[in-house]
Amino acid sequence: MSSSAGVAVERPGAALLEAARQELLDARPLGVAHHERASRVLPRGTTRARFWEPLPIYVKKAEGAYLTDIDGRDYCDFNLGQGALVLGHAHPAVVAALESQLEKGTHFGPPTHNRMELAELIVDTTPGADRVAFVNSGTEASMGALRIARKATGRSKVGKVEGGWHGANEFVLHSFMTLSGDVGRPDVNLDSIGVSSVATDNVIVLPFNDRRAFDRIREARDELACVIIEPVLGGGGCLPADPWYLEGLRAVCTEIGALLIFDEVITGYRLGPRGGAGHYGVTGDLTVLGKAAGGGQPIGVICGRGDLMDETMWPASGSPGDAVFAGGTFSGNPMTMAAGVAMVGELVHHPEHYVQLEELGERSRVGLRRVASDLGVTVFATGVGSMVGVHFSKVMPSNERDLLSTNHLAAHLLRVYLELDGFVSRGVSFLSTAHTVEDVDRFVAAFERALRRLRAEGALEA
Amino acid sequence: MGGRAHELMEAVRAELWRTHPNSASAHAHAIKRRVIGSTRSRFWPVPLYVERAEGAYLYDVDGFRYIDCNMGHGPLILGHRPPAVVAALAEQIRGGNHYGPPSSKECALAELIVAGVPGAEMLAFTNSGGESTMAAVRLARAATGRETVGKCEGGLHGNYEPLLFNVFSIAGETDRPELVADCAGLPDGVANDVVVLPFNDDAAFDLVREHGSELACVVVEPLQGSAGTFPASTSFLQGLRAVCDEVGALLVFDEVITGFRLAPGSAALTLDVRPDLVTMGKAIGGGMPVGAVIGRREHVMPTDSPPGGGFHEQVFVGGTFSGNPMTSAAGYAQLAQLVENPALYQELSAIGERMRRGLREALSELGIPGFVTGVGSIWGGPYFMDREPASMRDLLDSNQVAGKLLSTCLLEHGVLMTAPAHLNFLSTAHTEEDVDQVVEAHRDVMKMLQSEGCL
Repeated sequence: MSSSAGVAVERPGAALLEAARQELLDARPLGVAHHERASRVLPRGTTRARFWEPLPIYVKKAEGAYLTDIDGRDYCDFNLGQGALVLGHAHPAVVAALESQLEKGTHFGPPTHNRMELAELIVDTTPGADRVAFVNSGTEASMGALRIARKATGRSKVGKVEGGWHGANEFVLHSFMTLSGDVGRPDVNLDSIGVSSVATDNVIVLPFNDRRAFDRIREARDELACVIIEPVLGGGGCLPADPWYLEGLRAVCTEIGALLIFDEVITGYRLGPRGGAGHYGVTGDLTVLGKAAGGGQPIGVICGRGDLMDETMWPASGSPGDAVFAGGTFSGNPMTMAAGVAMVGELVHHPEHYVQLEELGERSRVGLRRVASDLGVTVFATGVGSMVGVHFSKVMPSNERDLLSTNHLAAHLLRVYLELDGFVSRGVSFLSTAHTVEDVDRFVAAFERALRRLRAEGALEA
Repeated sequence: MGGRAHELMEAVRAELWRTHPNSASAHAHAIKRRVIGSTRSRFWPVPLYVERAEGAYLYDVDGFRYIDCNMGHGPLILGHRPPAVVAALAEQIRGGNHYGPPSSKECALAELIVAGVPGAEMLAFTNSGGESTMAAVRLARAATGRETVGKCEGGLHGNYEPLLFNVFSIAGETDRPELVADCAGLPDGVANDVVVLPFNDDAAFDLVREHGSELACVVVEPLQGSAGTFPASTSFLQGLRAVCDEVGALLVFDEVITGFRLAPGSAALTLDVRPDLVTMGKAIGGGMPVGAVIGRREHVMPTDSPPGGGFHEQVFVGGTFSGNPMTSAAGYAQLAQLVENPALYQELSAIGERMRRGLREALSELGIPGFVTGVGSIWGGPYFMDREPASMRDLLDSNQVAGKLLSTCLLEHGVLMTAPAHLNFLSTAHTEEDVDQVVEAHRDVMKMLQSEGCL
């Protein structure tokens, strides 16, 4: 151990990372003990440890805009359950709905009324959605949507953009973070090991915010079943699609008879009651929802054109192989439906929430940019509405390639320094209606302190 | 469908609609709005809408009470609303139902699950049994560098593309099933990644050998659920273990149904067979959505990239809600009770055996040829046929129309089961009296069906 640590210190930034790690360990003794215990049964102490290097915050409770960890430390939360909690933690409407459902029972085989209620809310708000099918996660929803597209078109391949994230569905688990090839014609790179080559053979990777995508789609006209895209790349760094790009995708998909699928797992009920489609005024053939649609309970939603979904998922007759399967013990379960109706209902019936979310998001972006400019530091704030991205790239990023120049050391240290200062934010930040203007201003002030420290430590030159 | 059976089915359904006006109007609304595509679920003969549930009973929106023989498709081993689970969830709801960073409760649930799987050291959480099996297959591919997956005819493993073959369909020879996709829209080439094996049939071993050099794993349910509740024979599982070792493939037990249902942990606790990876779902979430892939450290650890490593260095397992606090709280509350009171499994087996015995006696008394399958608190049937079934293929000979009719008629007797009743569950909330009532209801309905000439 000692010899490898000695080698590591010689690498640029390693000493800074080690010092930051030590500060976290010192600040959270109970967290350290829990991490040791949890690392025996969970890879590096939690599912998805990769998000929370080097020491996960083990959360004890949450309310409004705040998390409290097992060491009793409070954090203003700009992660919000990876974006799911548009109303903040433990919102009274969600709490009441879950408590009421708990009185009745958590899970049944046959259906409940609230499944219909949530389906109606979704159809009444999501552009182009006539029918709804519930599953358990965004991943399962995108798996289903791709199958609908293949069945409807009789074609097999899927187009996705570089930097687009669609969950663990292996047919789109490509070229999210692993980028190579010509900018206008990116390589197809797997983002996981253990995936069959069949998946890779069925993917076409498109350049994001780049007209060459349209030609690539036309070229694949005989084999392309669909293009799936997030209107604003979420995990990819809060990078909005240019309006002409989404409009162009819509037109070229229609031209070649492929479906356009909007992955609105993040943007749905976050950018507005009508999601990213409403924001851009472009309508997909199918839409995939998750996160906010379940009010913080596990959910995935496939929705879209009635004719498409009827023919593929619920054909009038035929063998099992004629229908797209979307099962699951917990699909449409009453707790998820209750929390979803509460959160989506609150947001849809009170659209003024989106005015507040937009103000908070814009105040964050403006504040972050002002701080960067005052300090003469190259940092960029991206995003739309209540989605905010912070990037240590050399240029203002408009696609994932621009982020190849990212100073990852600075990005990692920024997250740790913000945590030490009482803020949770993973580069991509989310706001909720529970956040106040003061929360945002304190966040910007913490960002300034962190930037000053990074500058003083020489971490911005890397 | 036979003429009389068809008439009877329509008559019973009409009567159920008449006597259940609130469910009927909810159904009419669902058809009118048509926002949920399928207005007739494949499981339920008539869509009764649930109002609430308590213990072994489920109450519909018309106030009718049913003895629940489905238990949410299996997760609710302690019945509906066991006090420990309700208390844990009530506390968690107040403390926030979902976080981004991990909940402090994820670890405790993981410890209980891992302790219940012989030889296991670690797990990773997902949101469903299907996602877990997807993760297990990827881990097996990563460990072996091979791509092909073996699965059994009739095996239901959820939503993952290569496992959606020969789930419901039967084709080809008994000892060499022919590949059939049971889902539309699968991509080109997936079929090349799959080998379908006969279930409970030694011919499976030669098929595994045949594909040995390309086979990453064999996925098998120790008890096939959806297929009709057929326990795998110990010799079949031992044979699969041996042949997987021989060809260097991993053996994956899909224990979404059996996990913590037959014993306080894996079915491997009661079998002399050790799988390399185990997947679970259902019961380990205490009624909340859940999945987990469980195994030795070296097999599970690759689900996360090394510190600072890229996505291409990991077997991706993620998910916004994986390991979420509500699931962790409810799962822990349920499993702790089961682990601390292993005698509960004897009680569950006793009432399960009482159910199977009662149903068999009723068949025999009425002189109806039929069979009941299952083990512990799980049963399938009665299947109306002349020869005892051991696989989904055998059920081709059963009178499925009569099976569906039976489940439909049982609703009128206050018994809730899927139609046909391929996979049924009891809980610790069910009493001997509940079991006897279910048996009596079967006896009454079967007698009526017999007199109507439907059996």
